[in-house]
Amino acid sequence: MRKIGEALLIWALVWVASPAQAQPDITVTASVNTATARQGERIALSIVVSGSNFNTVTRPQMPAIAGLALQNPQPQMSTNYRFVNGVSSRSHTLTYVFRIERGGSITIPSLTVPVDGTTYETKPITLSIQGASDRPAETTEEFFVRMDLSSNRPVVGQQLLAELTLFFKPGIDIVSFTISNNWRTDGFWKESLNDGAAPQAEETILNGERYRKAVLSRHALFPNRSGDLTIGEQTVSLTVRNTSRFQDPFNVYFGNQRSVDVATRSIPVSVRALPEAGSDEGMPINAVGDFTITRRIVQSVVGVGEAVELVTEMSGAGNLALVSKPVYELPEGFERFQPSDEVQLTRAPTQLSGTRTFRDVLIARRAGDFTIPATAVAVFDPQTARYRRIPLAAIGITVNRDASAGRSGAYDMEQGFTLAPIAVASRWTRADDGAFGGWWWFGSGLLLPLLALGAAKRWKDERDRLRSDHAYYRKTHARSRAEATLATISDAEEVKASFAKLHRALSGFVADRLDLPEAGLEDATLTRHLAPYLDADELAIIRQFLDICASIRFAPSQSRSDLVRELSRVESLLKRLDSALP
Amino acid sequence: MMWFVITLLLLDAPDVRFRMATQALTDQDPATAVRELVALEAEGYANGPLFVNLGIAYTHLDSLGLAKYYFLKAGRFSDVNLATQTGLQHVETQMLRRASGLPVLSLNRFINGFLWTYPDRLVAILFIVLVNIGIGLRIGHWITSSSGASTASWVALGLATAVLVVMLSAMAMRHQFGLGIVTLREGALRAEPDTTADAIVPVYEGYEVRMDRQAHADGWTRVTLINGSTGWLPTPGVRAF
Repeated sequence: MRKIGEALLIWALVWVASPAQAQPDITVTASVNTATARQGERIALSIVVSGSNFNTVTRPQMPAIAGLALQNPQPQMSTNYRFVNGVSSRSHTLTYVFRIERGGSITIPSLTVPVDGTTYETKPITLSIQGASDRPAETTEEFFVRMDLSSNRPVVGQQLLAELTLFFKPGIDIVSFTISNNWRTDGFWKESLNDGAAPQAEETILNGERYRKAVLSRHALFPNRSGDLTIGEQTVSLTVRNTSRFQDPFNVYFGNQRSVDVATRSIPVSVRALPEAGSDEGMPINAVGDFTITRRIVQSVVGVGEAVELVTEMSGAGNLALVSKPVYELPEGFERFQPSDEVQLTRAPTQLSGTRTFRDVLIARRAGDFTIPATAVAVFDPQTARYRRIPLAAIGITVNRDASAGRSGAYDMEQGFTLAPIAVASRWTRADDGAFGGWWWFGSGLLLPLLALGAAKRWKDERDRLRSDHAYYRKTHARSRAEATLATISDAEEVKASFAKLHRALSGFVADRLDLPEAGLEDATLTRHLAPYLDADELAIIRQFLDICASIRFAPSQSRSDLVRELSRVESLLKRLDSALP
Repeated sequence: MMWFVITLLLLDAPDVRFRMATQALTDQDPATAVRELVALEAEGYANGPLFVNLGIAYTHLDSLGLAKYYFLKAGRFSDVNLATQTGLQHVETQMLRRASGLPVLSLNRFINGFLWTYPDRLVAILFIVLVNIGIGLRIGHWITSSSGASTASWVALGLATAVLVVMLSAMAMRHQFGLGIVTLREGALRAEPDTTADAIVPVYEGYEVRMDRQAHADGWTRVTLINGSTGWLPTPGVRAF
């Protein structure tokens, strides 16, 4: 879609500007902005379509060209119009930018350019490219970079200054520069000395030629092994502008500004091994440079078990990071713990310096007066190519046995607290008591309310049933109601009335238990309902009792002794029925 | 004969043995003190002074890991609170002098703090109280038919359920994890339970660790340091609470 859009745009531009009566006299040419170039530079390939009458120019298919890397597949496009002697013409230019990848001869093949449906071929172009390896002496170039090393024959650990300098002739403006990150310095410890300030250019004469130069970066390099080492090429991407060249006012895209990658040459370095330090020159610790070394302890009087901090401090310019930790002879009774090591670097413009601090934590195991013996360390001075002996004085330490007498494990001078044993034992507990004296209270505290809840629930359910279930209520209260009826029988009332109460108590009990209607319950109905629960004798007794009660109402008189007998019978019948009925 | 037996019994009493050990400690003989006090502990005796004195004795023997272990153990007895704090402060100072401090990850500080200070008794009491209040109000509601009592009982029982969830979670967490102290003088936290496995970070005595009780290998315990590093330590090098 984008291609179609571009083609339509080109067609529209050309069509609008072209006179309809022009004849088709189209030429298509290809050219580059320079016939000779250097590896790393960028070149522009221009395809120009000229003629008095054409409408559509289609972008050519750009083949892969060995040695050239296309920077952007979208070409820059421009159109020029001319009107000479009454004849109008125009040219349409497509410009592609390539980066030169290698030296030697590079050929841009013939390109096919469709114009208004007709294809036109450009002629091949051959370029002569100057490679990185066969470039002429630096001083013949308009600009170049150079890596200067302070020494090519250092010893292992010696500090070298590597300076990256850009040289450029008057008339060349450096618009911008970028230093590549892939500078290979295998076998060296490398530290940047850059302070972030912009490089300043100054005049200089190189082999009789006037140049301007600017230091782009500085590094401190420390070889960490002997032998033949190589400091690799350092590449710098430059954007330069030539202010002295003729400026083509139509060359809108490039102008006279270009981007170039330039590189330093690799530098061979022959690293010598450090000479052996003599026994009188001190302990070798691989130190090379100008150092001062001190040794001290933080406390000289401690208690048994207390920590003593032994600090060794190296300051100066040199291979601080490559120095070995001095190993001291410790008196018996001291144990060494977890040494620490700190490096603080100071970056001056031309050298790396700083301080390295080794800390040994020593624990005193027994009381007494001890001495860390005097010793010396050897530092190699590259200026004199000789070792310098740096003596370290003996250090005395007093270790106190009594915890309260000095810096013992019981008293801390800094914290100011006393840690004394407790003489009186408080109440003893046993492990099997449990952490909180057992958890019986938890079980009790949970069980008792749950039991209460269960009981309360049961009571509530009973109450609710009694309230809502009338039959259940009658059944539950049948015995008590019958007994209450019997209790109302008294000597003062008539015997007939008492017999009526006996009858009511028995029939009421049976009706309540069997959920029968109280009113109008006939004796025959009552005995029929009782039949499933009693045997024939028991049923006969009840039937007989009911007959007596029925007949006594019509009898002229009845003795009270009969009443007492029947009352006793009713009580036993109620007991029997209570167990027999559901 | 009887006097002899009484003397023997008195000598065997924990108070007498404790006093003898304390005297040994005062006389700058921490090894004897440790022997006697550890024997008391092994027999199941426990109190604040016993653990404080063990902490002090191990400080003298320069076993900061064990010293810290016993001071932390003494922290559960309120009567020796000041001595415990002093002892722990001393041990921490010594550890810093050995440059064996370790940065603390906030999450681990929280988890370890929870494991260490979780008030299980207090939470259990709260649960019981809430359950009792809830049940009491429910019974009251059944008796009086008060809707207020019903609502209050449900609220109390709901809270009790929430507290129960916390209790069970804490129980599960404590079942899986425990706190411990590194007693190795110096070692390495390893990626696998093997002495040849990658060392993740060096460990020193006195480091507090969270032990995963579910993850055990032969002679190795999986632990998490307070800086969040997780790996394996030899089981004898960690003293569990």
